[in-house]
Amino acid sequence: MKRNTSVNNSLHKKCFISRLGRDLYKNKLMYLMVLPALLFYFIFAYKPMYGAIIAFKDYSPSLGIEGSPWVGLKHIEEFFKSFYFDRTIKNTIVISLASIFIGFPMPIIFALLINELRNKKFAKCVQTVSYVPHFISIVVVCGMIKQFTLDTGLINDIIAFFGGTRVSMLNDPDYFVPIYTLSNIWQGMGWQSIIYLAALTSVDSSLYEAAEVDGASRLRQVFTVTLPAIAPTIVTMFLLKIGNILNVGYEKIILLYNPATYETADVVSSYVYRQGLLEFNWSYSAAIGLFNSAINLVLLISANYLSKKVADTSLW
Amino acid sequence: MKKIKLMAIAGVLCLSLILTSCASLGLSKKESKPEGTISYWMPLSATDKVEIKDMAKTPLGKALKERTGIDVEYIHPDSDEQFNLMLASGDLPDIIQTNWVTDYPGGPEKAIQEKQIITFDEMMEEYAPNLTKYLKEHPEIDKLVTTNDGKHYMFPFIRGDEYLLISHGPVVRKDWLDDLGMEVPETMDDWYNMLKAFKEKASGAPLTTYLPLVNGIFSSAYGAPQAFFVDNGEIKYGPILDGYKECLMELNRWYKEGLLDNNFMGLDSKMMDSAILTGGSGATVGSVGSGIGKWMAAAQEEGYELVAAPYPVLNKGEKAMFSARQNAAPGFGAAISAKCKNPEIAMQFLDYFYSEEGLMLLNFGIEGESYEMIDGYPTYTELITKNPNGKSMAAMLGQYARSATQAPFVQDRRYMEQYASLPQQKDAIEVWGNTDADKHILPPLAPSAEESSELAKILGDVNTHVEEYTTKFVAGQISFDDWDKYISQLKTLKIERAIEIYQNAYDVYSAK
Amino acid sequence: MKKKISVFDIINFIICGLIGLVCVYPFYYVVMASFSDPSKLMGHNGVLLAPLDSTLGAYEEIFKNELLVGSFRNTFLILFIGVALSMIVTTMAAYFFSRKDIMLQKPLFLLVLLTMFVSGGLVPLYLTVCDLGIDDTLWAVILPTAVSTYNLIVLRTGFMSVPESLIESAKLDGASDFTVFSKIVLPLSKAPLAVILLYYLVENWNSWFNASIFLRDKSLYPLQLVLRQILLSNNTDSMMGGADVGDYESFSETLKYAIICISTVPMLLIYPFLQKHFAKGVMIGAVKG
Repeated sequence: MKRNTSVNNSLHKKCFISRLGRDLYKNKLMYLMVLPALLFYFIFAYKPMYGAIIAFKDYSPSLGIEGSPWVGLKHIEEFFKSFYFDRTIKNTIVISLASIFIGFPMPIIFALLINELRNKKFAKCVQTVSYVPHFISIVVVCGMIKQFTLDTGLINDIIAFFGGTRVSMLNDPDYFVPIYTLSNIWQGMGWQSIIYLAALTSVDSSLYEAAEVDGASRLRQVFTVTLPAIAPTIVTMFLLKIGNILNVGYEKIILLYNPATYETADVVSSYVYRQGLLEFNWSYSAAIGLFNSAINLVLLISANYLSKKVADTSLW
Repeated sequence: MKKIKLMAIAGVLCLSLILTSCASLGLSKKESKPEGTISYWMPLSATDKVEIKDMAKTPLGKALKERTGIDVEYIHPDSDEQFNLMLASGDLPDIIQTNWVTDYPGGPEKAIQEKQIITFDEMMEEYAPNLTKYLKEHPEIDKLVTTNDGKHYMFPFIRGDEYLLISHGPVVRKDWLDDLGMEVPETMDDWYNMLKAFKEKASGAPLTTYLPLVNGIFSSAYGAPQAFFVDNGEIKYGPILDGYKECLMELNRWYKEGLLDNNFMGLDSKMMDSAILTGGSGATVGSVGSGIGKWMAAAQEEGYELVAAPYPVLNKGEKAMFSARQNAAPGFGAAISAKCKNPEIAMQFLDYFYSEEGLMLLNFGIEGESYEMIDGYPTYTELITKNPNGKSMAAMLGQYARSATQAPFVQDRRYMEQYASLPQQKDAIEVWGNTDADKHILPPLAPSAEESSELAKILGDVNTHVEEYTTKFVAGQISFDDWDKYISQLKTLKIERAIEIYQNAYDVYSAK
Repeated sequence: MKKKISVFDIINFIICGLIGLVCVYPFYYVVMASFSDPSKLMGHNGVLLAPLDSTLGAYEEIFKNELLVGSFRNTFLILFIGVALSMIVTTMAAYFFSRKDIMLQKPLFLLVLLTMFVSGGLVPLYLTVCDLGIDDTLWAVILPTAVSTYNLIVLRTGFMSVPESLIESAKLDGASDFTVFSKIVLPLSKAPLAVILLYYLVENWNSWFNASIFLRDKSLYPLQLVLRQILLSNNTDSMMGGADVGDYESFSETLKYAIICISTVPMLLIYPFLQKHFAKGVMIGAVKG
């Protein structure tokens, strides 16, 4: 019995190798085409990847990556034990979820709106200007946000005009997440919509004609024709976003927050940045990076699995 | 198929074309420098980065080569990351210049222990006579620039005069004071009365400034600066002292009465500029150059004048116990790397900077070009002060001298006297300098490598906690009944351990 | 067949118009600020509709820099070589990953995907680049970012929407994989190609970090790195600067805006050229023709 399985196994192996050989031969042109990219990934991603082990070492530049002493999970433990761990993780997730659930659909809706515009010249204009904010440096954008949200700023002028009371918004913890999310949408909506606009070009116009014959309204056409057609793109983008859930960059956060809003605004990356650990403690920041990646990867794999089951589209 | 072949041929042609013109286009490597030259890792200041392509090609670099006869290849990194990468690659230049106390993880002791740089006491008298002489004459500075066991490892940056140590403090509108017939405020009560009076004049809140500075400056009046400090050989931390609480209560009163900017926790420099320039407020905290100098130059209002106010105290006639004073030697300097083949030559080159001739060169540049001797006073020429091409003074000084930046030499008071050209700026340095800060400020301390990484983590949490609660106390978001909770939380964050680490390092330092 | 204009069309027109206005304002502000008198701007707060005392001072200041002209050349070289290389490699790889019947495809794709999550950090990358002997050359700026996994996935998704039936019928006619790729897939994927072309252009145009790490020779600096240095040299935010008197440069604030203009405008001009590939029906025409 035992012998049988091992024979089976070796047969299987042989089978696999010969199948592979045949596949390599049959698709040799295809493999040739992917070769440059694989070379790139090997040299610039996989060869340096051993560096990630410094998360489990006490790295010192003069000792080098190999020479630095192993410390196991010390850095990750320290991160878990840090006083602000709960708060920064919670804030990171809240901000991330807000940007997924509010931020993610916006560019899609915007692309659909542009797609529905009758005047094509006007559509092109709107499209072009909508991606301008993406290019304005984050420092300038945040400077403007600060001015507009001051208690004497433009937004408060509008609120006061309608009889509301003035609030110094960026000093109030309750306003931080909305301000952060909305300004993110403003910055990125046009830029992100480009990809959906491109996907929209692949929709077969005969499908619309058919829908029209069936008497479907324009709103109905969006749901029965347009959205299904760009669904693969939406799913891909969504999965990539899920795979980034714990990566809330510190740049914009530290430009907008202040001690009065730490309780909702301080995320993992800004906390680490403020501690100055990025400069001095490579191992610690590598450990946090690895922790983030691990969580992100798990989320991505589960989301991909779900999407395969439910929507029959997936990344792999 | 033909098309593909054609394309392939065209591709190969293109590629070979590119490859042949690679060197000039920067696609292939240039020749390296000849043997015998000294390589010098010299990070440049932000201004110099733009103005200087290669130190060897500036008037200063040429003069140095001519006078010392030593060929130097300068390496100017763009970013701090490059310092780490240089260390990691093990490819060390002969001379490395950085702040060894703050920028080398683990401090100078670690750098020596890890065999990145050398100590050179045994060669000092022979190859660095000028530096040796200076340090013998100034034992208090010698103490600042050696390792814990008193070894020499760098050619340090030294601020050669009391006058160069302070550039930062409270600033108020002089013309408003004159209108109101008030004196420049000295005590906290004076400040309160002045802000009350300013409230009528200002279109916004009369006092506007960043939060940490408000407290750093005002809490010193209560004997509790927002920092670690020395008190008779004992290390203390201001924000856990009772004086800090009293200060916050006073600031809270100012906040409630509308004397302190509502948005104080989130101000940026743009908002401050506009408040102080347009009469939004009449008092702030600023520095000599980017404060008083910048605002006086940009002000549009007739009669606009700023004046420096002394660091506030509680009772008239007292001296403030703390200020933004700097150490005479902040730990910055040029060290000889362990890979250096000719440490003697490298040392001779650096030692020239401390000779009489070298000091004139590094402070004022070349006589007849960048300065003239007028009545025995080295006076910068108009090439430096009013450059015909519109370059700033700092930019021009970068070409001829090192006085506007940190470098291995002794900075001269006469540089600052000419640099801070407005009388209000000169006054400010005098007024702000008149404190007892020299007795309280921490010297550059070097805890052990393990301790400094422990310290960094503690301080990260402590600073977050202190900033957050300070803001909330001042803005009245929490009541002062919670003070004990604030203190006990600081203790859980191991503030006492941080004080202990500093104390140990300070004891080692004092014993030198 | 002209359709009637409905209420929806009007509302949509208004919404899109508003979005356009809100988006264009910050750029408008930047342009106006870059032409303003610096000391006036410093005292100004709030909305800006026209330059305050218009002047070209900030631009003159920038163009005084001797490195700037050379940096344009470097940037165009990086764009030209870098984007061409990226496009070729990415397109071919995306085609490989978009097909269905290749054995090693899935494991290879997972390996590619993994690089989005695990990286070795700066030091090993630096050592790798030095080992290749390309440090201090423009290749060090071009090669390490030659393939963006994100773009690869975007393009792969685009390729996947090419109808399978077209490919199969071509194969039945005896077309090789490469012919299918160049004759069918590429012409039908103009829009996603335009998208990643845009992404690569913008990415290469904006990149400065690798240059700041790998380049020592300043004459090789790309535009963005030079602009960044000009910007930082004028940073007056150094309030805590201690005894080093922060140098007051008169153009600091306007300079920031002028630099944003210089570095943004070329990228804004490119878009309309690529936009025509987003026009609807391009693909359908190609299929039928």
